[in-house]
Amino acid sequence: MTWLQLSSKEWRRRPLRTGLTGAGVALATAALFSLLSFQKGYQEGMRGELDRLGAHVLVVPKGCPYDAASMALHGASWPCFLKAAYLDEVRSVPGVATAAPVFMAAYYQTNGEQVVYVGVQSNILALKTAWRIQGQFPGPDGGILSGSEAARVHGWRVGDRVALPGVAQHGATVTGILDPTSGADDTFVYMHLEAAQRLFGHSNELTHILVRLSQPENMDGVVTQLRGCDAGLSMNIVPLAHVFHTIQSLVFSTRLFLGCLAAMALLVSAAGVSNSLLMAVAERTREIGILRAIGASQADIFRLVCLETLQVCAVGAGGGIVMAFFTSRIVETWVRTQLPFAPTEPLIRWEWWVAGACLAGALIVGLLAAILPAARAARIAPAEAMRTVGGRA
Amino acid sequence: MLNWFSLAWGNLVRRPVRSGLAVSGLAASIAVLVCLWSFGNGYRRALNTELDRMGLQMMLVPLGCPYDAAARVLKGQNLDNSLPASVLEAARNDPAVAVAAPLLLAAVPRPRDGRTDMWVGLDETALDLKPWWKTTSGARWFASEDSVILGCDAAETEMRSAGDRFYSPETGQKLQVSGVLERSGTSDDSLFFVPLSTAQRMFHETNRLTAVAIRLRDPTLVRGASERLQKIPGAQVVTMTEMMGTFLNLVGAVRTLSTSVAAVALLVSVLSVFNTLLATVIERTGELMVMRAIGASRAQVFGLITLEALLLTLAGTGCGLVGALLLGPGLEGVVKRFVPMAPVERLLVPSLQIFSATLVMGVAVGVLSALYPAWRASRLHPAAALKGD
Amino acid sequence: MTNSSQTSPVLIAANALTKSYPRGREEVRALDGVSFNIQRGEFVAITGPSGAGKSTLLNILGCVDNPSSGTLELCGRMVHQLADRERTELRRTAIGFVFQHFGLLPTLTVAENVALPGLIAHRRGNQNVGALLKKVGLDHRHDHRPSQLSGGEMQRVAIARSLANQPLLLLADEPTGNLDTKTGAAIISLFHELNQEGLTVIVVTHNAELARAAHRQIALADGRCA
Repeated sequence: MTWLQLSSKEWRRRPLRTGLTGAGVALATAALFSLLSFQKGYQEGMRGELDRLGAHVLVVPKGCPYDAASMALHGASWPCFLKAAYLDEVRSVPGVATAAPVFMAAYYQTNGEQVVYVGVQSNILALKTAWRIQGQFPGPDGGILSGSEAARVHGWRVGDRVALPGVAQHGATVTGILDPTSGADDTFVYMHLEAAQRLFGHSNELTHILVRLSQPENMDGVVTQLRGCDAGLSMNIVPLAHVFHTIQSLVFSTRLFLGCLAAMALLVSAAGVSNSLLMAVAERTREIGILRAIGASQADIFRLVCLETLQVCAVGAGGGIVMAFFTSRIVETWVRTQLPFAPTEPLIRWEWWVAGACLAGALIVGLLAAILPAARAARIAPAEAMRTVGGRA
Repeated sequence: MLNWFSLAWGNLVRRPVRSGLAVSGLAASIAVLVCLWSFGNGYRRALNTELDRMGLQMMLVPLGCPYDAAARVLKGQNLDNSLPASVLEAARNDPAVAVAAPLLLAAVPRPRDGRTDMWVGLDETALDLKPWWKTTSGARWFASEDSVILGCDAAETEMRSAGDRFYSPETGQKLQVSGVLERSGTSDDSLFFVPLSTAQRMFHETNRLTAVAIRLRDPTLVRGASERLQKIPGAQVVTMTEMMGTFLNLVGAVRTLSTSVAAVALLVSVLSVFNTLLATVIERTGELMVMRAIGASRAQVFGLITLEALLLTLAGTGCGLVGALLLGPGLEGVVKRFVPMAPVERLLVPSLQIFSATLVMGVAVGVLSALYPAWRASRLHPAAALKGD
Repeated sequence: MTNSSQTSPVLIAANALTKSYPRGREEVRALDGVSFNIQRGEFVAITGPSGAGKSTLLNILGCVDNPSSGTLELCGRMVHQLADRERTELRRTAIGFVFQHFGLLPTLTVAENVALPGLIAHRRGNQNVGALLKKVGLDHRHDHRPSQLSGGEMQRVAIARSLANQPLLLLADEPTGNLDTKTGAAIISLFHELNQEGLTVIVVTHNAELARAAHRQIALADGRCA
């Protein structure tokens, strides 16, 4: 039997206590893991959303609720409108490669679910470079291009003549269905701009304009010019990358603080580990004395206690990391309600180096926690343990 | 004199390291939680008070994303857009507007000192909005175009008082301190105030403004005024509710995340308390059986263990609360770095409500974590006591 | 239960007591039909080899445990099938225990240890702690801890504690088992003295001296009276 086997028998002796200690380590490590993996996921998720949107700058009407950017990304009903005439001014600003007008409207179906209609012109295709269309882009006379998810939910196929969900007494032909984009587009129903304006009774009006720049590095210059033009005084120019950057930096500048908290949680669990070990050592005073009496050195005893700790911490941390990963979807759903502009993609991604770092961190902290109990154990004199201590029942 | 308390207490202190570890784990988590809680409450209250006292209904702000603007203001960064001065005229001409106060906000980063100073350009209409403005020397306004009025904390940091010269190296502007504000508990305490035209000159924003603060003649007119003012080109209307909401949202998000992590720490320390109690019961099996043998009832043994748990958690809670009081001032410095525009004073002092809620929570935690160990203890059969091993 | 309500000389009447424990897959019969009477004021020693069932019998007499079958009468009251609560009450009021390994609480002083039964019995105010300590000759050590006492001193404190609630009956399990001969003799004479004052004393012991000091012996072997 090796020292490893001996130590592994020890912590099986009190399963509840070992379990609780391990659970403490698991929780703390899970929190740390979630925090560390969150950043990359958030960053990449944001970038992914921006890429899928295809626009560098968003033009929305003045006086709109200020989560306009979020509405454009995720789909909503717009209470305010831009004059279609502004489009020409936007187009004429140098540096604007494509200015795609959009009319978006959201309707509620009888089952309470929302369906989002997006009226666009064919120049939207210059922004949506990742789109693959089964069928065709709809023309001005009618027809819809459905996202893959919307088509699946309603059971649509290319060529079907269908009723427009949520819009009474209107139908259209499904001219095309999008391949899945893993983004919000999958749930949208696209149609031609003029058809949408007619259908929803807002001719010559837009909800927003998606602007793609020829040189994204020059965004500030273009934004200034957009703001400076006549129409600019009535439109809100939202440089998307900048906005996300600001929000991101606000969230991330607190990561240091959050990280400290997670580290504190880990330390608290270390206190728990230390406590647990102290109790275990006290309980096994006699046995440790026997081990020493039959020839084990102080270093052997010290190592034995450390081995025990490593096992408990390894299992606890490992379990915590795995649990954090598998419950991450639930955590993310909750986090999204807290943060503005959280991307819809998974925020917590599995990364080996993060998992490794958390595991290593837990092991190091565990070893530190083991020092005092291990030292106490090593100091138990062989003979002392055999005596019955007087006065104790 | 022997009583149940002294018995329970004696059991805790005979193992000082263990009890200490359990208590300190609990104390650390509670200290952090209480600080976060107090900060959130305090911030909301302070923001409310400050805005209430100003009596504004809305502000005219530059076009752009308000979330972005709010985040920049919180972090002490310049906004990426500004208002033309014509906006002020248009606002003042509106029949429903009683006071339209212009302001220019500028952030001056001081990397060598590790902070950012916020400068504010005002004109005299601002006095209407800030009833608490009073300088220690008695003067209420700038003596000249080259004057600066310092908030009390700003004056302390710069080590200046009324009458001193003030040089701003980043802008090359020479100024004279015409007054130091009395402490108001608002964000003004850490700001640098100059006349509007001076600010526009210093920061190269001639004829531009950051915002116009609006007070209406009659607060019920807010809807009509809002619609009219919204039409002013180059500006958008933000109501005070929306503005507070944005700030609170941003700060609240961070606070919620922090609180959850701290809650994890608390849970972990509770597990440790539970563990400690359980071990205590197991270790003292012999003693507990003796007590049963000499006539202690199951309920008395249950009560003893529960009492020990309560003492442990109350000690932890108490230390946590003390820790929060001590930690508070330290954290204020940290908060100021991240959120320079926050009215920080006394934000981290826990209110009576928080105090009592924390104590109640400590008691509840104690009782809950004791349930199983105490039950185990009460089930011990006294028979083995006689064998005495 | 108070002394004044009882007039019968028989304090304990045990009839055909048996006690079995399951051990693994077997049933161990620790007591196999033990019967005897003990009079008020007697000093009885229960003797026998290891495994004879002495401690088991003491457990039952002390209302720590119930017999598997048989009857036990204590002061005219049937106590062999009582619920835990009632047995606990008896232990609190009528019975005093002395253990082989003393059973003192290490965090309490000598005086506090002796006051412990009073706390358990909800008695407030002046207890006779001082008088009890004086009786066992340890009142000068009242604020010492058990760790500062010798074996014999600890046992005497344990005896003082067992008297705190003015019991009818004193039970002791190998009270001299952990003591040297000289100290053991002192304890024996203490038991003798208490018995002279009217206390009924039942001891389980291997110690021949102690057995001789008693009025009579009940010898057990294999769970039965020998």
